[in-house]
Amino acid sequence: MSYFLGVLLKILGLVVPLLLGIAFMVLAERKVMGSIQRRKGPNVVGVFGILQPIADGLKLMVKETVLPSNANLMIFLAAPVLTFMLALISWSVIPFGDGLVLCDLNIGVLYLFAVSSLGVYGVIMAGWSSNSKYAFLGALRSTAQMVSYEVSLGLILISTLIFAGSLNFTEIVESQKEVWFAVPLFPLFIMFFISCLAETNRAPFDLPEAEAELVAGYNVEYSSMAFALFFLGEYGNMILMCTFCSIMFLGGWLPLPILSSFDFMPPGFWLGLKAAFFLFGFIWVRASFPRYRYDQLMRLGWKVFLPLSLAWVFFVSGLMIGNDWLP
Amino acid sequence: MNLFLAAFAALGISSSIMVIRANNPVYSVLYLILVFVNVSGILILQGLDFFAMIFLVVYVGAIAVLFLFVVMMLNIKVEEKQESMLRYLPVGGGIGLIFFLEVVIGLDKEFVPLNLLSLGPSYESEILPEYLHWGETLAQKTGIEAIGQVIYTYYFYYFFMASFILLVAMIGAILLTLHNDPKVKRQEVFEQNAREFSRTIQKAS
Amino acid sequence: MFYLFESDFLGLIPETFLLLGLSALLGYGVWYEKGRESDMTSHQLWIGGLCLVFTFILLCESPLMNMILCYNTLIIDGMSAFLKSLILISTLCIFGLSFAYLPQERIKAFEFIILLLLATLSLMLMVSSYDFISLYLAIEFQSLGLYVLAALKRDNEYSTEAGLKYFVLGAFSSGFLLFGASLIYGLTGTTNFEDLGLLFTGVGPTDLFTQGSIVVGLLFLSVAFLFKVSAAPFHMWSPDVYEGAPTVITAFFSIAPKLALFGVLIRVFYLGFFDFLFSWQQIFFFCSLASMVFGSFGALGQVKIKRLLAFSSIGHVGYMLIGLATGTLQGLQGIFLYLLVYMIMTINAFSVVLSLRTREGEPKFLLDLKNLNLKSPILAITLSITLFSMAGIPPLAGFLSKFYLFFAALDASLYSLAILGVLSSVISCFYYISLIKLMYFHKADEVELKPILPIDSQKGLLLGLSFFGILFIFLYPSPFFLLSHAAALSFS
Repeated sequence: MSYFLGVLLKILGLVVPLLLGIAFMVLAERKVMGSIQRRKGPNVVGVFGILQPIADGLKLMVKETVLPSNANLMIFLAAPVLTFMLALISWSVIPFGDGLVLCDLNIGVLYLFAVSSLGVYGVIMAGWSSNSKYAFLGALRSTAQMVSYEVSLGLILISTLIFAGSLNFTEIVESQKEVWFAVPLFPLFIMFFISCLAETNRAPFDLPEAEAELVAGYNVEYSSMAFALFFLGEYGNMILMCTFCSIMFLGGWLPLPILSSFDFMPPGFWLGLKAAFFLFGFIWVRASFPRYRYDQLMRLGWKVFLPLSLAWVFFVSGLMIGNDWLP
Repeated sequence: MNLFLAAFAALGISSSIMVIRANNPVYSVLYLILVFVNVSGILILQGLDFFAMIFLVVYVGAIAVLFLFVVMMLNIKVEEKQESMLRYLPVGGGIGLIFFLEVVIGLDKEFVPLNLLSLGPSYESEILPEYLHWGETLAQKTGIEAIGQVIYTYYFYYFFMASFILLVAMIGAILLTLHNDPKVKRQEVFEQNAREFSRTIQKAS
Repeated sequence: MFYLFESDFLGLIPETFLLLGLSALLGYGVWYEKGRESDMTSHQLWIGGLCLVFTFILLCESPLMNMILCYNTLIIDGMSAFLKSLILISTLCIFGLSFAYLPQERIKAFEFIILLLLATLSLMLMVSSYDFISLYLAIEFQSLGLYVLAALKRDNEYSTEAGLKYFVLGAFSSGFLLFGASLIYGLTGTTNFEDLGLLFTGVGPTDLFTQGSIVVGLLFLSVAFLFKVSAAPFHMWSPDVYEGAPTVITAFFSIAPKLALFGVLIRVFYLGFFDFLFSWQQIFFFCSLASMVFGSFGALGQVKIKRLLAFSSIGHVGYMLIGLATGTLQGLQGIFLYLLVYMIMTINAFSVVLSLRTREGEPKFLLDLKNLNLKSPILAITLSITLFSMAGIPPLAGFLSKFYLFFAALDASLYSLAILGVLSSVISCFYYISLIKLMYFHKADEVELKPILPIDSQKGLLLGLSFFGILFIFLYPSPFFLLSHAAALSFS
């Protein structure tokens, strides 16, 4: 009995800060984009706009939930639930320190990959059940884009996994003790970052949900709490992908070797710092680059990233087997 | 873990019945996804963690997405599927019963009996051998490691054949669907990127 | 794995060469400039044909005669060499037929040739397979390529229907195959044919329950193979598929998969399950009877050429199943001989059908054959000799092969099969002779006869070679007897 209570507390300790993080991520995005565009972001609600997410959340809760009359109600309501749930359950395998992980799966990376494959369904169910042509089209495009970039994501992961020798997250971080994987695999690091951008439907790959052009794509018919769930799910996915990227390439909770005077900081701090670095990169890219047109986006995924990542798999595996460097 | 096995199996069987009984074809595909998820759960209970995740990635993440795309774009009207299932009951039920009996005859029979008790009551007096799995006492391998050690060495031929099948599928899909219209203007991005700025405008005197 | 480079690749040299050749062709096809596409298909046909010739030479000159490769998943023996060479020759003939067909039907896709070569590779690997898993993988490999080829003409509903029907039935029968194979694996713990054969030694009249469960698995397996080889009562898909697919692909369907699948049938049932002879003999007995009867009676009411050829091929499969049901080496030799002669006859028949193209298109109905004597007497005499051979009239090649099979059946005391075989030959004679009547003795009407387009040299060569084969095999059959006997001896 106390075992279950312990697990429940661990889950709460994981989820509650995550939700807070998502909420403040929204604020951070608006402030940072504002700074890049030489204006201040929201600064009305609290000092420096700190209470803005609370105001947003309150507004979304109080709004009227509009259900389209011809929508398929069960699937319509299940789609945001699914998206949000998948964004939360993938956090169970992320290690925040040595042994600080909810569930140390031996196939942790594959579990994350499977959960992100399932994330496609939230989008496609939302688009179809809205019974609206624009939503459906946006959903199909978004799904096709996510599936295409999952391919290159998987192949890049394979290259890093050959270095690490295990799918277990803790072991992957342990194997980066000498040198972070971003140093030998720097091109793959860049490609992984871009694939994460495409996978989470963030700019410059956000044509399927472009706010100016396609009126928010697959979640156009959603309002109030359902939209809030989608929103939370998307940002949760974003933070997850950044954390995933920092674990695979920047050494997870390992401290920076240069700043050795800061070694007393808890391991979670380092993971958070690296993830924050990537999140800043996400927002920076959003503010800087124009959107890819859909066919250019698909061309990039299939004709550029797939051959490159496949070639890297050949190169890395050949190198490791030939020199007998396999872990 | 019997409770979990019973729950997954019951959900799986009822979902698979709903696949063929649902009116809306999109519902059928969604129930099929539920079947895959339940089977993946059963595989985890059997200790095959790698296969469970691969089921989710390949079946649910790729194959069922393909089904869903096709079914959603086909726009099948639900009224076309109104037909009574009862008129198939005599012949269909008979054939189903025959299949079921055949499977039941074949189940739980071992050609090389490892469990002497299953042969009959007269064998109970013999001493049943107990096997100690020495390999497990030394070192345990993860599922994925075990597969990797065998599939790339002893059974590499199967790996090759699977890759050829994927090659044929790729060529076939392109052959059946690509419309290579020479009249449509396309952008050649690699050419555009290779352009040298200093040579794009030249003076014609 | 430890013998990978010492012996495994040595044994697989023909297949490896074919694979490398078709990869080079694939690369060539993709990198060629757009705009000269009709040249592309003829280039690929010539180079692909050369590839096949070299593979054939590599196969014949291979120093390895009897070998088990790749950790008990593949085998090379006399039968596999014989069937592989037949498959390569038949694909070469199909390439010869396609030289004129592809430009006439405006098929510009060079992947046609690549898929045919891949299907040939898979058929060669299927014949060598020694394990249920490698068998299943090779069958799926072949089927997938052929599903696509059947649906090649995208704007023709018949072709799409053919591809769809072939796919659904093929996937269904593969499901049966997997179910049977997994039942056998669950009951015995091994998927290797040789191990199964050793395990079942002396089973015969033992406990019905353990034997019965194996027979259930065997039933599923045999049903799956009979589906794929289009034997009755599982033949429903073949007339529709043969009619809808492009004619050259129909020719490939009638010959090559049947060659490989009979090889597979022989290996599974003669090597793996020979001790269950009395169980599967009944299955093949019944199916052979049904195939011969359905093949001859079903063809009586047909009005389209390709459907008629499909039903006649069902009948031929029935005759071949007689040889399979005997359980003797003579039966095996009969099957190999019949496969050889069947290949020659079918190449000839399809060459004639492809040669009858008028300016409007290719012939669809049997009535398009009328008055062939006036349009082209040489084609008429070729077709009539082929039809006589298919009916089994001496002294042509078809008679020789059927004669041999009936003798093998009588030796194995399958009297009713032999008698019914003769009777159904007589019935099939009826519709073959009605075709000949159409060609020679039909009343020429006042509307002018549509002239047929002149045929190209490759088709002419094929027609000539197969015609002389049919005429003169009976005079000097010993090389074929020796070849088929050598192939059958690998099971002694």
